[in-house]
Amino acid sequence: MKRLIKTMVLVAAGLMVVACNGNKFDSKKNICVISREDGSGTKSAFMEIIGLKGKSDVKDVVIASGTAAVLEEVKINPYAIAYDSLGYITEDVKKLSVDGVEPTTTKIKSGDYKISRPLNVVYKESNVKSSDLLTSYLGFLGTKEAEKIISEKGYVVPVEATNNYQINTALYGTIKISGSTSLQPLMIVLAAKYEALQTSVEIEVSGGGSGTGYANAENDVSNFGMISEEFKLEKAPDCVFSTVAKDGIAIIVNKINTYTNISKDQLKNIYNVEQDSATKISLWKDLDN
Amino acid sequence: MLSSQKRIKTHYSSLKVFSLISVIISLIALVGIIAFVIINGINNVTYDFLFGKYDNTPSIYPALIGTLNLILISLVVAAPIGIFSAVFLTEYTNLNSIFMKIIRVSIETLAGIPSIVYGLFGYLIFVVSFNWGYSLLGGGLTLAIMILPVIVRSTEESLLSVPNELREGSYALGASKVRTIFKVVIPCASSGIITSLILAIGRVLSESAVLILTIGMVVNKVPETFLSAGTSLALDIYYFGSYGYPNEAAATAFVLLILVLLINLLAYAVGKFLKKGGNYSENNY
Amino acid sequence: MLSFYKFIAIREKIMKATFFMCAFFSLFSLLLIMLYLFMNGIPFISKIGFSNFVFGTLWAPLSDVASYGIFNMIIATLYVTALSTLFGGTLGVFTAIALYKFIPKKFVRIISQLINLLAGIPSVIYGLFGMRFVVPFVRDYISNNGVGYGIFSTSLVLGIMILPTIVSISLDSLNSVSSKFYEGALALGATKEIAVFKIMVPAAKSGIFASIILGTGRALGETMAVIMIIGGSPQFPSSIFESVRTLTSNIAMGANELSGDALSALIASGVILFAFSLMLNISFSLIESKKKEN
Repeated sequence: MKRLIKTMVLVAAGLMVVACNGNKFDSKKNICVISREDGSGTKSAFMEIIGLKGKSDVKDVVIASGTAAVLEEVKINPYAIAYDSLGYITEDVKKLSVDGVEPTTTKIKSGDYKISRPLNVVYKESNVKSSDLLTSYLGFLGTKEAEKIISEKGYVVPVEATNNYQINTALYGTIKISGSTSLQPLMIVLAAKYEALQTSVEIEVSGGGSGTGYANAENDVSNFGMISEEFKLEKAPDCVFSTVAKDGIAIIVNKINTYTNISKDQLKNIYNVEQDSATKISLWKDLDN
Repeated sequence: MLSSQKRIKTHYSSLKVFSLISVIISLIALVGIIAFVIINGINNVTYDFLFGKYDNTPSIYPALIGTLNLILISLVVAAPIGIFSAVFLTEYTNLNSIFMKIIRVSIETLAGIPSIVYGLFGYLIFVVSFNWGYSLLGGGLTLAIMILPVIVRSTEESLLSVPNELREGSYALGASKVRTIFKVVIPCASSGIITSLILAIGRVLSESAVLILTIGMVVNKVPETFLSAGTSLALDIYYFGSYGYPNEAAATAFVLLILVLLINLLAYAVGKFLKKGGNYSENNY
Repeated sequence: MLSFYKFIAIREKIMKATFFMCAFFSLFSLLLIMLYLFMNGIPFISKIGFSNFVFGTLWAPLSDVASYGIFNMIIATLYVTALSTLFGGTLGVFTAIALYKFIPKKFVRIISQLINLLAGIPSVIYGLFGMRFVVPFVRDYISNNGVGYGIFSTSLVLGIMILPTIVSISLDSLNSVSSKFYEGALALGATKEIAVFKIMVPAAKSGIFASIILGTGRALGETMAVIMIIGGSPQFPSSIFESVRTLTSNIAMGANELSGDALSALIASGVILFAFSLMLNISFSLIESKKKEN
């Protein structure tokens, strides 16, 4: 019995030593493809941009729900590749250049970095027009105060702001916003700024994905729905939209990943469910051509 | 010793070693899970996390309120129904036994239904049919049906363990059946009944598959009424874990684990210290 | 005086009816559950055809030409259930055997209590543990293709989850075998190990088997732990190290977003799940009642 315990302890110690050794990136391993859930605006925008509009997910895809979950997965998975909101991701992951172009806000503005999409709010025009509070908030999103926050957080301002926000002390109430998890972090900061300026107003910002944003705006569950793609009228026939910011979609990999660049064709290959198996890129080293 | 005998002996000795290794692996698994939760969770359990408002930083206060409400609703419904069902099954056994068998089979079947199927049922009847949308009440009622078999089974056991002499003594003194049940049998079985209720609470705490389809997983707002959507501790762990908040997930797991541990300890303590009924059979009558 | 007794008689009748109604409630709920499930699921299955549903390999409820084949999910479920029963069952039965005779008596009680603690841990916590520890571990040290999600990791975690059930019931079963057999074997010159493995374990085999069935049922019905470890891709499982979906995780993933036909498809798969569980439960009851007859 005692000898048994001794051997177990030694084995456990040995395992721990192996586990704590620094990991080397092995390019012979499979690429772990991460994608978003079906209602995601980021997903539909991304798939459309790389030429796979409306197609199903590739085989072996790992589904991560929400912008934050994608980042988390790439942080801990050395063989993952994913697409995620440029404004949201942190320095804990590595961004790949696409066709030699780095994903920066300048390159997005100039159009060199092609993988980007607008972050919109959708709403029913009549609802907003008939509410001073909602009109005020919508206007706030286009003011210099908002512009400052948008740029600071790493997003691209859609239109140069021309005015400062005028506080209206008569405003009070609650604004409900829900939808895209790409726009959610930015919206939370914008909402906090607005609440600081208009102290009798409370703003609730929840997630759920662009699909939820469309649905909630259409069904009057939320005052504003957030979506992270070009507005598609068929998804919310009674609504209109307004662009809050433009956001790049970064292609991210784990920090120990040795690759730095990927081409748009290679991206399409990796995410394509209909890719011919002879030409399919499935291992990391398949990118070396 | 013949070499064949030796071979047989080694064969069975190695099986013995394998069985000892199995025990160790099981214990390592247990220690591993608990250590994982404690190590990753304990640093993130702050006062703000427990009781603050969920604005920029997550808080499990909505989940705490939601969980309490769920426990309340499910117990209020399942406890009386469960206890009375058990009473019927044990105290009125002279009725047609086919009906008894059907009831018993129903209870066993209910116990075997996967929790996600309960979730689907709850969704179809409370969220859609009754048009309540996602609500704590819907979740609580579904949970009530789910914990019913647990309560019925343990209560039945406790009632059966009450010695018949007590019942007969009560009848001899002129008490009616109902009076006997309420004044003699149930109090005598009370420790077992209370234990089963406490264990049912433990079950409610751990459930999440049912809730994901019935209460809506609204993690950032404290539910206002029973018909509000809400969340629970277990559901929060799923949300935090899957939506990219691993530290909060571990912290919530830590809180939940402690609660589950306390519940189990409570059940054990009640079982030990409230056991007055058993003494009667030891006295000589 | 007479009215007093009449009052008691009426009260008796009312309470008896109350108790009866409460007992009937279980039957009522069961019928209600079956009603809602079957009324939504069965018409759907007949609408799109049983073969297309059960043997179809394309699950694409949201595409332009919707497809509702759950075969891939059924296969993944079978794999996960079988493998977790293998892991949990082997580990569990051998642990029970060790606790039965090979662990010193003074430790048996406390080790059993500790293992029962595993039974009390909520399944989401197993899921979290699986997602944050087991998956990276499998990915880095066990998997041959760099993928940690999938059937293998899920089965590891579910195996641990069903372990306590198997241990406690198997141990009870072993303890209930008459010790005369053990003493007789020893008297005939058998070693302790031979007596245990050749005599006592086979004598307890129906109880052990019943415990494994119960464990299998639990693994079959598990949702939350699975959904966090299995990956989520609706493809056919061609490797145990590959993102897939079980019937349970498919239901949980879709039920909040889908409606109409897609929702009915999920309900129909719930019906199939219900049927599988029912079969396992009936087998368990049959074995238990056979044991009681012996």
